[in-house]
Amino acid sequence: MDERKGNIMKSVVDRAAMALAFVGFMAVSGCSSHPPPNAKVASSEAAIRAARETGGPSVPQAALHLKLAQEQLEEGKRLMRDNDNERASYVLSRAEVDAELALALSRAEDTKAKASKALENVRAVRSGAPTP
Amino acid sequence: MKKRICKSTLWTVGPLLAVCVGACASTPTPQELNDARSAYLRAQQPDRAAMRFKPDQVHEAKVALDKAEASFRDDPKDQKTRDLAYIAQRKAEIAEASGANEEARAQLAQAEQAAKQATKGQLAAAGEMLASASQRLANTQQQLEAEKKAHAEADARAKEAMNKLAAAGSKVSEESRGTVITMSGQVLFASGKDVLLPGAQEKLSQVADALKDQTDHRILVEGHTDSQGSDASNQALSERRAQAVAAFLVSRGVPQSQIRAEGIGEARPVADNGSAEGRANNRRVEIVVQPVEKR
Repeated sequence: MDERKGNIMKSVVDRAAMALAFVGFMAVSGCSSHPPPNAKVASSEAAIRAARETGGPSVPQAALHLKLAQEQLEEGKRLMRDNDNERASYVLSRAEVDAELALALSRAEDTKAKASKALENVRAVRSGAPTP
Repeated sequence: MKKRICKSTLWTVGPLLAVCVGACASTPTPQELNDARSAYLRAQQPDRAAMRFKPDQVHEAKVALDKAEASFRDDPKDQKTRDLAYIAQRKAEIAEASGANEEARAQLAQAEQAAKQATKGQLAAAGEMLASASQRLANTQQQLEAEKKAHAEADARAKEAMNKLAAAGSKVSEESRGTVITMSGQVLFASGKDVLLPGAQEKLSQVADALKDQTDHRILVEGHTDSQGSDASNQALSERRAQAVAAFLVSRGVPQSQIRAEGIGEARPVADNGSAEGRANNRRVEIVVQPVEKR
């Protein structure tokens, strides 16, 4: 009876150990096997392009965020080369939001300029001066 | 075997737990998270453009901030927390910039609408001005036509009047200074006097009738004498006679403002003062009807 009990205990412990080992393996292998965030590279590159085309460089705040985006894109690519895909993924996300912010800022600036020009136009029309 | 596993588990979990608890208690909030929190707090204010125009983006910022907060609770020291906070901050800023863009767009649309309206108003005003100008032009043309017609009628009347005068025996001649009606001094005045003779009044009445409609003419009454007597007395007599004739014409309806009397004396004889007939011809009153300068 004692021997049988001991055998059962042994098999339970064995199974637990195997399960633990499996979980450990999964955890370790999971950490090191983040897939390269190629999609994020593409999307931040697209966002940077869009920001640059909308005249980002001409609005100082937008130019700053565009620059940050470019720097972080490069940093993300470097991390990928070093096989730190998890960190690269975050850095690329940062690049993307910076580019999006640059785009939003330059758009807002552009619209503000147009609006103030239109207001000037209204004043000119009302005062009877010839409109440009 | 059992002993070894238990031991290793303890070795792994124990310090980890200790680190975690210690960290949670003492790690300061990373700068990125503080920035993200204040950026979101700013963006979510209901009176700001982000919340008014881009509430969806403000919400996205909130979701991102929640992620960063969760990561911070989970592992305050992890770089991941900083990254997530950085992203959350940018999202809040994007919401603000997009909101500002929408706000400016609304202003732009308003301004364009106002400009359109103002232009329309100006066009309408210009149209009215044009209409009234052409109305005025039409009026002016009508007026001109009427004036032209009146002028032609007056001319015709004048001609008719002059013809009548000529027919009645007055001497009427066309000269460069106007139409000249010459009346003999003998018919008008007794010798040396300036009081009109009764017979003269009838003749002058005819002249007045002919002249009183000539509202667009000036009338000059000139007195002339022969060369007998002194220059000064002749000058004075000719003036008085001219004034007497002018006064009579005015009394018969010729407008005072149109008529002027002038004494010429013996200065402009029309005939030889050596003969009685010549002197008689020189004693005369001339009524010059001058057209007023045409406009």
